[in-house]
Amino acid sequence: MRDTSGMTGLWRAGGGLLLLPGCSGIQSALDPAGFEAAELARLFWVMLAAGTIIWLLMLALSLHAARRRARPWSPRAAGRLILWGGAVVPTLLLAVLLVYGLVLMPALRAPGGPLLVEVEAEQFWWRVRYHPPGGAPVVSANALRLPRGERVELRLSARDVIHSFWIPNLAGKMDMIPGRTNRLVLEPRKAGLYRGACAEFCGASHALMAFEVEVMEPADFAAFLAREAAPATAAGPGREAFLKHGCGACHSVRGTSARGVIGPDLTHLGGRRGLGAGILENTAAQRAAFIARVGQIKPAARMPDYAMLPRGELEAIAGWLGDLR
Amino acid sequence: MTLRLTWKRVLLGLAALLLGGMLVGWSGVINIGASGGHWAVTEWFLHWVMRNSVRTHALGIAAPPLDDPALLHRGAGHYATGCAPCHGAPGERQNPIVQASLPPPPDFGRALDAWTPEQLFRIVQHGVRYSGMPAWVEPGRHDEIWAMVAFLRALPRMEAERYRDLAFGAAAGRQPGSGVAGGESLAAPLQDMLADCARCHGVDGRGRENEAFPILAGQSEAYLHDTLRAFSEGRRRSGMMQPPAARADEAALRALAAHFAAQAPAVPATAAPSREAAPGLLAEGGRIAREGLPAEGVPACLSCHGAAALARNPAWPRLDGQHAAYLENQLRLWREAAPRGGGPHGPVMETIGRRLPAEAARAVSAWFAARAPGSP
Repeated sequence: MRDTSGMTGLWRAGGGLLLLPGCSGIQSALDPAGFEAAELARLFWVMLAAGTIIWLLMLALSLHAARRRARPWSPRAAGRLILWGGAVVPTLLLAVLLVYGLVLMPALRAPGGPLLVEVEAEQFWWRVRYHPPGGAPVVSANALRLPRGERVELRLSARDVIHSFWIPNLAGKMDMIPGRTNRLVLEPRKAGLYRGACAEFCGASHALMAFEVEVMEPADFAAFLAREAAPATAAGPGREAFLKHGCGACHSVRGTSARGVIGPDLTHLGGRRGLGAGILENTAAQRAAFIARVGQIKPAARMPDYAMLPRGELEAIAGWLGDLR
Repeated sequence: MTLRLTWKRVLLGLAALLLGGMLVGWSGVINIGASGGHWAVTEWFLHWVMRNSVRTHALGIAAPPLDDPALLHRGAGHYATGCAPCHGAPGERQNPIVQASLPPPPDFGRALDAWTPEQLFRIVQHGVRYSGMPAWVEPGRHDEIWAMVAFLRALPRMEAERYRDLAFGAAAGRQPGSGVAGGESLAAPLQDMLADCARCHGVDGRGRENEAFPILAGQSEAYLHDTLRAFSEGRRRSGMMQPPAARADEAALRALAAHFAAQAPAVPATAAPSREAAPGLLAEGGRIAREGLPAEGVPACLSCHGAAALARNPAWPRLDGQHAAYLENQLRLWREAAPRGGGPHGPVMETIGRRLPAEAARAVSAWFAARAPGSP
C-alpha cells in the first residue's frame, strides 16, 4: 500500500515535469488554437524530436568510442568517419529540416480574408480598429475579437517606441515599429479566450501591456461588431461626472460629447473583461482605483492620477463605465 | 629646556583646546548681542568672504534680457512688502529697529552696491547666511527672481514718486483701515487685504499696465479660491504669491476669491500687444486649442478651458483674454522639471503641460489672449 502511494507520488512528480502546466492555457504557444500557431507548434515538435534523436545518437557514439573500442582507428577509417559523420550526414539532416521549415512559410504568408484589423501600439496599450468588408471602421482598444475559421489580416504599427504583438495561442510574434506597418495573418480555429502581450521591452510598464483575445463563432462575431459599432446608450450621473471632469479631452465615448483621441476609446469599456490593457479585472472597484491611482497601478502611464475627484463622482464614473457594454 | 613634540602631546594639546573652547562657550561670557557691532577686522573678514562667495557662485548664471517694463512692476510689487521693511525704499526712511540689527541690512533708499545682475540673482535666490537675508521662498521660480533683479537694478536711480507708483499704484498714500473704492462690500480688515492685492492686481482684478500681472476678473470663485489656498499652503509655488496668501486666513481667501470673481473681465482691447501676434501664429494656436496635439498626447485646450466646459466645471481657469506673456510663462513652468504646483486639479495640467512644446505654448497663449471672454 505504502509502496503504491510512493510510486504514485513519484509518477505524479515525473508527470508534472513532462506535462508542464505552463504549456497549456490562454497564453501558450504549445496549446495552438489557430492555423499559424499549429504550424509553429508542429515545427517545434519536429525540431525537438529530430534534435533529441541526433543527441541520443551522438551520446551512443561517444559511449562506444570511450568504452567499447580498445583498438585505435586506422587513419583511413577515421577519415571516412569524419567525412560521413561530420560533414555529409549533418548537412543532409540540416538540409531536410531547413527545407521542412521553409515549406511551412508560404502557408503562413497566405493573404488574409476580407476582414482587416489595425492594431497600433503605444506606451502601454493597444488601439484597435476593425475594418469589416463594406462597412465603416469600428474603433476599440485593448481587446481583440476574431471570427473562428476566417483568415484575418492584422496591420500592426506603433506610435512611440518599438513594441511587439504576440498571441502565443494563435501565431508567432510580429514587431510593431514606428513609421512602418507590418502584416500578420491569423486563422483562429478554436473558439475561446486567449491572451496577447507586448513581447518587446517598451518602457516602465512593458510587463503591464497585455490584451484579451476572444475567438468567436462567425455569427457571434458579426453581432459583436454591430454592438461595438453602435454608440453608447447608458446615461446617469456617472456620464455627467465623466464629462464634467474633462475625461472626454482624451477618451472617446461615442454617443456623448467625449471625442478625445489621446487615450483608449471607452465606448464599450463595460464589454471588456480586462482593464488597463489586460492587467486588472474589469470591476467597478478596479475602475475607480485605476482612475484615481493610475500612476501607482501602471507606472509611467500617460494618464494623470484623478485622486482629486470627490468619492461619489469617482464611483459614479466607474459605475457608468461598466454600463457601457 | 626643550619640549619634544610627540603625537601624543599634539593630540592632547588639540583636545585641551577643544575642551577649552567648549568651556568658554558653556560659560556664557561670549557676547552675542547685536549692539556694539563687530570688530572692524571681523566685519572686514565676513564681508570679504561674502563678496567672494557671491562672485564665485554667480559664475554659472547668465542673465536673460531685463528691459521688459513689466519686470519693474512685478519686482516693485513684491519689494514693497517683502524687502522694504528691512531695506527701505526711495522716499521711505529705513526703520531704526532694523538698523539696530547686526549686520544692519543696507538701506536701498540711499544706495545699492554695484553688483552684477547675476550676482544680485544669486543673493536674492539663496539669501546670505548669518546675515538675516532670507532665500527666495521658491528658489526654482527664476522668472520671479529676475523680475526682482530688474527692479533692484533700476532702484538706485529711482525717484520716490516713481517707486510709489510702481509699488502701490492707485493705492499710494492709502492709510490702513481706510476704505477701498470698489471694495466697500468687504469688512475693514478685508479691505486692507484687498488693498494689498490691488497694488498689483487692481481692485477690479484687471491688473496693471504692461501686462505685468494676470487678470483675475472673471475667473470663477471656485478656481480663485482653490488657487489662493494652494498659494497659502505652498502647493502652488511662487515666492511672490505665497507670502501674501499665507497672511490671509480661510475666510479672507474666500472673500477675496468672491470679490475678484464678481469683477467684470476686461475685453482684450486693453491687451493690445498680444493682438499684434502674427496671423499664422494665431491660426496655429487656434488649431491646437481646438484639436490639441494628438501625436504629443496633448488634448484640445478647449475641452477644459472652453466656455462649455467651464460652464460644467468651474474648477478650471478661464484663459480667454488673459495676457499672452502670463499664459506662456505658466506653460513654461509646467514644462520645466521642477513642479509648478497648483490646486487639486494641478496634476492634470502638469501631465499635459510637460508635453506641450515651447512653440505650441507660444501659439496657444497668443490665441487665448486675443479672444473675448466667454467666446465659444
